[in-house]
Amino acid sequence: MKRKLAVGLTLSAALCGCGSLGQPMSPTEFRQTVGGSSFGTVESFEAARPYEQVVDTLRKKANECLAVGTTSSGTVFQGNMAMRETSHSTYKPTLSVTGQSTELAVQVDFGDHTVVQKVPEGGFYILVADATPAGANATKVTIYRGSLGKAKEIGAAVRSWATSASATCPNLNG
Amino acid sequence: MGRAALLFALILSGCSGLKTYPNALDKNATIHVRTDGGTLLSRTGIALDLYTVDPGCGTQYLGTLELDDSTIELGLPLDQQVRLAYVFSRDALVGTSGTTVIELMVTPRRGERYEFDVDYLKQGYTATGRVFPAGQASGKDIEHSRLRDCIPQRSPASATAFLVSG
Repeated sequence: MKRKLAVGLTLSAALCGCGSLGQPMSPTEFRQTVGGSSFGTVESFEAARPYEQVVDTLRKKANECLAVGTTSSGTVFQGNMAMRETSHSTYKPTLSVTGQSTELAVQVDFGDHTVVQKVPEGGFYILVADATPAGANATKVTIYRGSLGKAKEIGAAVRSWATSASATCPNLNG
Repeated sequence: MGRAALLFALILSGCSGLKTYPNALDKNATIHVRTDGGTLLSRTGIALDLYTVDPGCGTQYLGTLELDDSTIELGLPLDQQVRLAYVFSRDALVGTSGTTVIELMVTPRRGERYEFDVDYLKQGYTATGRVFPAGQASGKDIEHSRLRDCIPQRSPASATAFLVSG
């Protein structure tokens, strides 16, 4: 129980990318939290592809790569005893299109870990990406993410999906 | 006997619960597989679990195929919703091991052809599919949908519906 609580606290702090215990409950709150934290990363770039193509790729790849379940197992030490621990994660991407702006929010649910605060429905927010047109043949993309966990891999994948339609899924194993 | 020893014994005796998909139906799908086999300290693998899904979202496990670096001809059952779960696994000697499952749902009809591209390479993995209607050379992408998004149908005559997130 103590170990689960510790894992929960670590997840809470690490995933919000800010070191505080206040969990962002929406993409808007996540942007604000990451933007104001030295632990978070905000990356902005222009992809040389039309907005509609970028959104289409984001939708397809997010659905393929980020609406997945993962199982990880590794050795953890309890005192001097080595034990195998297995954890399950369910990722959930949500793509929202509003006029000429698209938002991709990625959440992760770690199952029954004990956490001391309210968790958004669908899990912790770990990344939010915004796409807007930048002329006829380019798209401005801004990625907000925490600095730990798989958010870095997912952020790199979102960048490659925005710039190329043929990119693969990020490795969420292990 | 401890639980771990019992599990190990069950696996050794072939009682892990997995069975090989018979793949005896007329071949209507092709899977193109690319893997790089992992590294010195880790091994990667891809398996395909096949299930039928009924209108109430219940599943029946049909079997599993281990996918190696090759092209595989597959016979999918006709006129039933079929769940294809591509299981990407990484076994590490040091550090963490894990699996990720990418799901696709299809309802094959007579004459249709399916093509799947499945890669597990250093930079990541992918599982995509295209369906080609009877007699047509151009196909369309298969949307990814998952069992957990399945909505049970009250009327037995209607088809199973799925919500796709995003």
